[in-house]
Amino acid sequence: MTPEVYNQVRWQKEMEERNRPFSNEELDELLPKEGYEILQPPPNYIPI
Amino acid sequence: RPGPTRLAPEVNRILYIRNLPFKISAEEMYDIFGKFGAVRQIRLGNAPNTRGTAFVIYEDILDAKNALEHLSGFNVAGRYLIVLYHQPDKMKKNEDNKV
Repeated sequence: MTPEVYNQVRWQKEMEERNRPFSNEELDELLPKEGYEILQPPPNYIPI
Repeated sequence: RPGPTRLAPEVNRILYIRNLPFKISAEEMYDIFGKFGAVRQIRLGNAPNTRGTAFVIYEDILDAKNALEHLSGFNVAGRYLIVLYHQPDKMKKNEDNKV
């Protein structure tokens, strides 16, 4: 395992960790609930 | 090709937006922020002390970074958006000293 490959693997692992999908509970912990409303995505909203 | 650029620690998928027009709609919010990638959730301030602010959560961290870089200073209805990375632990700190 060359250093480049090692860095690549480490970077991918870090990205996976930082991109782990948020659960709703996690979002509630991270974000204020009072004073904010969760917006409903408009019907024609297609995530790109 | 240079190695993958490491992302700074404060970069994350939750953006804190300030200086939004008070009467902005969900459609407009999804229109402005949805251009940069799949939006996981948007929380819009609806109280006197939170109006004009919002939290926008992206599915992908690179989309959030891209959105912040493009939307900082973006003009919406005559107001320049302020876009910051949300720092949850800082928020807990100033909630503590608010008591």
